[in-house]
This record gives sequence, C-alpha cells and structure tokens, in this order.
Amino acid sequence: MSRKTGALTLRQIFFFPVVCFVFMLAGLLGALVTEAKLDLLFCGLFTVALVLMLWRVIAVRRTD
Amino acid sequence: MQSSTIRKWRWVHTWSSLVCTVFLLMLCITGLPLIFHDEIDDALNPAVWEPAKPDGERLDLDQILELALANRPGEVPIFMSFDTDRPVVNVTTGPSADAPGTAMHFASFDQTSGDLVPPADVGESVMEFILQLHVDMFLGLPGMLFLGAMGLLFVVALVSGVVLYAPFMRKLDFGTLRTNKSVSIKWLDYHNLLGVVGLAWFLVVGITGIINTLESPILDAWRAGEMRELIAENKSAMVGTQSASLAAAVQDAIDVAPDMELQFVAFPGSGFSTKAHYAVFLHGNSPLTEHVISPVLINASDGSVTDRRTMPWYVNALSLSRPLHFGDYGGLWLKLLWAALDLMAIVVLWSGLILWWRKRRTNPEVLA
Repeated sequence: MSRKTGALTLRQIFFFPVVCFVFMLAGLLGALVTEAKLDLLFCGLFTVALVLMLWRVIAVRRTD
Repeated sequence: MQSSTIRKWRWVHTWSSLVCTVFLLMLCITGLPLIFHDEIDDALNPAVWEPAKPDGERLDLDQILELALANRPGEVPIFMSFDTDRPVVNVTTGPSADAPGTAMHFASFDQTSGDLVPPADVGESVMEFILQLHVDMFLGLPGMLFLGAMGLLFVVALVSGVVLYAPFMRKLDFGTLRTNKSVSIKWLDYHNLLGVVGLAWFLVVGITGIINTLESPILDAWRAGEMRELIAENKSAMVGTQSASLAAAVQDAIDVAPDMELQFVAFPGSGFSTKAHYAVFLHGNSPLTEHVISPVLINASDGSVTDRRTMPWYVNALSLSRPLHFGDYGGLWLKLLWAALDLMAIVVLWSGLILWWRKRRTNPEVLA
C-alpha cells in the first residue's frame, strides 16, 4: 500500500483475482483432460475460486 | 494510469459490452437448459427401451445397412453412427449422398435384432428450439457469424474490464461490497467482484463460443484443402458400386489405428468422403485424445485401405472447443458449476447494463 495515498499496489489489487483465475483455469482444463475420472477433484479446484470470493466478502464485511 | 487513458479504456469497455449485452444475455439464458440437456432428455424420456436380446449376438454393420435401406426404399446411405451406451446403430439416408440436411432421414436400429428403435423425442422440439436460438438465432450461417462477432466484443469487454479493474479497486480490498452506499456503487462492486472472479470461465466460454460459430467455415476449409487433396490423390480409384463389405471396411480402419475408436462412417459421395470411398472416422481412446478425430479412407469397391489422415489443427481446435463451451464433458457437479457461473455471467451483464443506464440518467451528456 502506498504510504502517500493509501492506495493499493497492483500486486495487492490483483493477488486474489489471479489466484481465482489460476484455480478456475486449472479446474476447467484438468476436468477436460481427465473427464469424468477426476471430475470431483477438478470441480473442487474450480470451487476454490468461488469459496475464496465468499470468504473475502465475509472477511471484509467483518472488518468494516 | 492517466485519467485520459482511463477514459479511453472506459469508452472501449462500455461500448464493446453494451453492443453485445442483449445477445449475451440471450446466450446465457438459453445456455442454462442446454448445460443439462442430457438430464432433461432423460427426465422427459424415461429409459423404457431395452435391446431385444441383451446378451445375444449382434448383427454386423452390413446387415444393419441392408435393413436401413429396406426401410427407406430408393434412398442411399449418407452416415452411420453408433450409440456409446447401448447396442444401437444410427443410419442417415437420403435421396442422394449429397442431399441437404432437410432431406435426410435418421433412423436407429437395435443391433441385437435389427428392429427400429423408437426415437426418444419427448421435449425434443423445445430443446431443438433453444439450441437453434443459441447457435444461430434461426438465421443459419449469418446468424452464427453475427454471434461470433458478439463473442469477440465480449472478449474485448473482458480485457478492457481487467484493465479498468485496477484504477477502480486501488482503494478497496478484494471482496468489498458497499451495500450501504448508493445503488450504483452497490452494483459496481457486484459487477467488479463477480466479473473478476469468473474471468477465466468467461474467457474460455467466450473464446470457445467464437470458435464454435466458425464451424461451417472451418469444415468448408477442411473440405477445400485436405479433402480436395485426398480426392486428387485418390482419383485413380474407380467410382463403382459399393460392393466391399462395410463391416470389413470398418474393421480394417480400426486395425490401421488400433489406438483409436470408431466414431462414425461417411458413405461415398457424402460431404465427409470422396465419391469412391467409405470414410471411417476414428477418435482417440483417452480423455485427452477423445476429441481428436482421424479419417481412414477405404475403397468402397474392393475394400482396400487407401489412406489415413489426421485432421488439421483448426478442426481439432473446433472439436476441443465444443465440450469446453457446453461444459458437458464431466459429471453433474461440473454442470452445476457451469450453471452457477452462467448465472454469475447474467448478474455481471445485468449489473453493467444498470450501471450504464443510471449513469446516463444522472448525466445524459455523458453516454460512456
């Protein structure tokens, strides 16, 4: 975070979005190459992105 | 980022998304039941059909072909395909091998008895309507290409949205939803959060959707390139009667590519073969190669294996983009996730529309 303006750095802004992106893409492509065999595992990866989002929404709300 | 640069990106984001929003909303809404088309078909058509002799010997493909042609006197075979979960062979016939789709007749046969299998078509017209609306809005190729252009705008909107995400979020923690502020701020937070979380899925479904809209040009390019080359190389093959055994031709094709499985057969003269060959299409037998197809040409007169080709990269890209777009390559959990993300996309599109509308109302001079 910038001391002067209190603004977040690009790294801070994009940290969670990039994590969501990576997990979602891993789930998408992982499920495609393994098909139904490891379906649940890759759906789990997929879900990480959604759970991460909900966790942050709840965490931010609590801090407020 | 300078404010003039932000303004430019904002203009790109606003107009690229506004132009395509209505069509994307239609695609998201019609896409929702299409994700569950298997489940809907099964629910509307409970599995009452059973093969006549489940453990009995199966008829060979020549016998099935004979029955199919006896069932449609005066017609010729065009395609033959195979159900994966039951002993059923599907035969498409028509007045000529190059007949248009509207003149083709599709019939399914029990491979254990040769009996016709009644079509499971309850609700088919509704699903067919939804699919057609989703694919080309009943406008054929122009409709498909138009939706492809809308898909392209959607990708532009996503990229410009990511660029704008940083300046809008520079003082907000990830996950912030200012629900106690104005309606516009609330919707902006929902728009930013859901948009960035679903970005990977939106991009993949958007890009594969664009590829899918190019299906006809891609197949035409294959016919004009590889197919014409195949025909030229095999010109010496005599166009004669289809006297070679179909069952033997299919077996020969499988022997040539033992690592592959049978997908469908295109008969001589059809859009996927030459005038003198059976084109036996095989696909890979592992999850990764399942969508990669390879045709083997068998001389229809003497049954000799003429050629085996792999499909060019652009046809393979099309084959891979279909399951990635519809999300029907996994089990029910994957479909449920697909539906959740589809709903997320609807919220992102709707919130974008609300944001634009409210801004336009409060400041009519600023349209973007």
